Amino acid sequence: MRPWLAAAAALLALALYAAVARAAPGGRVAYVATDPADSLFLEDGLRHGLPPGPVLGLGGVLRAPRLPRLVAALDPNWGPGEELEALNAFERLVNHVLGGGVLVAGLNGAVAANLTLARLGSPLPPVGRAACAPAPPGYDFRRYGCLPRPPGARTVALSDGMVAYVLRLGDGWLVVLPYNLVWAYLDTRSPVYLEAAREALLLAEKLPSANPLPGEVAAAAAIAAAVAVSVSSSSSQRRRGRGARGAPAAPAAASPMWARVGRDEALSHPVRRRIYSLVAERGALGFNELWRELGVAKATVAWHLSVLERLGLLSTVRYRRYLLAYLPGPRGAAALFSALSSRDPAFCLLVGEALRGAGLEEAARRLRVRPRALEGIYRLVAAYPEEAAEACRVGE
Amino acid sequence: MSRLGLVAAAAAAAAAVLIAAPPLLGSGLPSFSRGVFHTATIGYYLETAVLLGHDGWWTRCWCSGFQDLVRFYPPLGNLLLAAVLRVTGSAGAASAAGMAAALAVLAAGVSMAAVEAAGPAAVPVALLSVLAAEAWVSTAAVYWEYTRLLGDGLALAALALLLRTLRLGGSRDAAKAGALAGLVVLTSLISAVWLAAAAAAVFLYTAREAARRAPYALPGLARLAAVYVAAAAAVSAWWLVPAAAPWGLGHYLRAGASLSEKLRVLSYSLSLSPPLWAPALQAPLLAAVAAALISSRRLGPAAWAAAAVAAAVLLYGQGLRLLPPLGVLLVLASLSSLEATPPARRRVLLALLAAVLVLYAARYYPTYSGLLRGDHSFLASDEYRAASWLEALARRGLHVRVYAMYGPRLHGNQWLNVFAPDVEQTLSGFMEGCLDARVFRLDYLVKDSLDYSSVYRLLRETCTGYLLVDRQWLRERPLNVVVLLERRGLVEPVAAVNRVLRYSSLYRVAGVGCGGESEKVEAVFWTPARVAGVAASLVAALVLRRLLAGEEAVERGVGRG
Repeated sequence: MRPWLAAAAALLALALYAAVARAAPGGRVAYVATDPADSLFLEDGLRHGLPPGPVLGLGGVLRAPRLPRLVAALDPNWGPGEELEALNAFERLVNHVLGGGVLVAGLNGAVAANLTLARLGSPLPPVGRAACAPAPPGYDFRRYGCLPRPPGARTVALSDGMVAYVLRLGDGWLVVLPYNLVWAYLDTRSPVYLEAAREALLLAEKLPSANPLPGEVAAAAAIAAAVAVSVSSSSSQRRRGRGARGAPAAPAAASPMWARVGRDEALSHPVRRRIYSLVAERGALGFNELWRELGVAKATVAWHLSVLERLGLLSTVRYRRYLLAYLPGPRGAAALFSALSSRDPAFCLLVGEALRGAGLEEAARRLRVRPRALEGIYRLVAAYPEEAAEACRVGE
Repeated sequence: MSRLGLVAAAAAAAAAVLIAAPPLLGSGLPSFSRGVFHTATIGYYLETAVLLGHDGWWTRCWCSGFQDLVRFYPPLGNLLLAAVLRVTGSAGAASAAGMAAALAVLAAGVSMAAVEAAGPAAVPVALLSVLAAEAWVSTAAVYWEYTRLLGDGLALAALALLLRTLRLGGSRDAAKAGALAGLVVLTSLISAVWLAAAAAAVFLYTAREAARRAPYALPGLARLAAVYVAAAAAVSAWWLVPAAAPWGLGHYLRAGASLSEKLRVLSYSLSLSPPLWAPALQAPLLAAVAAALISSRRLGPAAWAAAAVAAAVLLYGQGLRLLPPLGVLLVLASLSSLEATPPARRRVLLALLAAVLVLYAARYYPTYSGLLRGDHSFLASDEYRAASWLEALARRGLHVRVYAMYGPRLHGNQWLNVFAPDVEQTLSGFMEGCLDARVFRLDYLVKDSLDYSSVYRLLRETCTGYLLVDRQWLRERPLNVVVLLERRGLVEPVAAVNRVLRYSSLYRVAGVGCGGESEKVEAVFWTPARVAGVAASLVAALVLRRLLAGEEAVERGVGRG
């Protein structure tokens, strides 16, 4: 694939990921509501100018695969038996904040979040029943309660004399409205509570992310790079594959595991060094001879021999029941043929058959062995006919 | 080492220092919100042991002493920490030094694995991948699990040695790789799980290659595998057998998340603001690298290892804990497949990958560096408050034990003795507790039965005068043993303490009042399982010696011929 096409694919992946990552469920804010009172407040609030967004119950918070950056839990409540669900839902919301989200919490939302926050070492102060923050006329502190300003929080003034506390948590923000908005609104129907919620949400939307680099940019870049690598490496492999077609298989480079091994490294092990020097010295050796020379387990000899063969330093071939090691190339083949012709007269019969052009099956039948036992040597003789003929003449 | 390798090593060391600096320079304990407190716990135990003037490794608050501690939790990390504590004399310093050492070993392990999988040029990228990989940084920062970092570092080094052995090594190299794998078992069981999967995959890959090209080599490969396993067993069986045998491996594997839960966690990565432990990059990076690998025509052993670990993530109950090594194995496998790319383009692609990882680091480092800092939030914890109250009783000479639950929110038995060393626990400082079978039976009966009469009998037998239980656990089981005991007046809540506890409740057990040496729960060190473990190690060592004998002779130049 051409580089510009790879780049285009990478950009496409980037755009797709950005689109998926940004696709929050149905809006820029999600509301946590648990009972009809919350729903009523939200219905009126949306008419009053609250930004639209999906409404999630406690289970919804737990099940939603993604949450938008801004989540509002204005006054969630839970009944007996629902404590665990509430605890887990707010644990997720606190995690969401720590990871860069923004939670706008009313008094009950803050109390619920505090169950987790307390374990984070930054608990909010307990709810009081006395005046602890500026409030609009008619807000009954004794009836609705009030959350004092948490340590380290910034106080932001809202209209109608109300306030919000802004607290950084991890990468995100917790915006606390210290009032029981829903109850106060249901009792008084005063729009100041709707307005306070609207202003707090607008304020929350403008809070900057603690981390200058959005996670999705890093993720998209990673995808782009991986796609580019993928496209590029597969195309170059295709090219290499075309070039290699028809050529003899290179023993070492074929597997990624052995691609970088040099001759010195291959001979760094004493057993392999000894196998190589024995074969180089004698031209060709049977496996059992090697085993007797080395005095180690057969399995060990076999393993090291296979390493040398894989790296192209030695070759092996089966002849009848024997595994023979020899140096690769025509000189090695000549040495092997010479050794075989001196040890087994039948070998020259085989050479004669091969040079006559007889098939493997026919030669095997004449030598009374299975074709498979001669397959390797037959191919070798066919590859180096002159050396084979020479060895058998010398043998005669 | 090449110049590139030196630069990479320097970068790794600098990053290790950078990450370890906050706890090294700060004060307090790992923040109480963040799960595993292993480092501090061990440190404080050891400090306490020294202060109590016992023989150095023994304190009665461990119930069965240090041998009990090393029975369940793999001992290597603990011993490392103990050694540092001996030298420095400070638990805080030992804790921070343990973290720094773990990060250094991790960096070294990744370097070795990268060199084996993809050549020296890949080292910087692979190192970056580790240092930037949130999964690991969060393991350090969110959980303070230095033993897992140490285990993962050793496991990567063991995997690198195994790859080298299967390419060029012999039996002695396999023995070294196996011994290192044994050390992994002795350091972190989670790391051992993924190493086992990866090593099996690498052996299978090599067997497949051998079967294609040189079938006669298969017995040799089997012998190498035997040497590897024997070496690993010789190093680790003495600990692993007594740790696993009495309760079966299922005891350790049962905890974990379902497959749907795992997929849900991965889906967090698509969130704009994911939780700290599930970063935005995790799933896309894994998916993209896997896609790149799939498109590659020839997969090397690193890709096989990554595939095996991916399967382990899905099949193993606690598979989510394997995501950090999976990410790095995928990166290594991807780099390994780059070898088919022409050199000029490869350089560009490596630079591109490195740039991505730098972006990744820039995104996540500020978040996690802030977390890896001690604080004093433990002062507000139930564990601390309950421990302080119980310690005051112990100082007044009340010789009863407390059953402190390890529950969903309360980690009582892990922490109680950190704050109050003189309080005797029925369960020891660690979940698996004493070797006395009655204690395990008691724990089982409290948590999983309604047999209150047996519980009460065991409470009396083990001199357990207080129960500290998790309130969430109580809520989740409206009918439980504690409620039944309370209804019958056999336990009563301790109101004075419960007023200040937030996620746990303390109960006093009626009619328990004992003390003195005769009523002590005795620990037995030489249990049949421990004897079997030591025997297994010895047998494995003998088998290993026999397997290595011939090759050693060749190295000495004493072949038969």
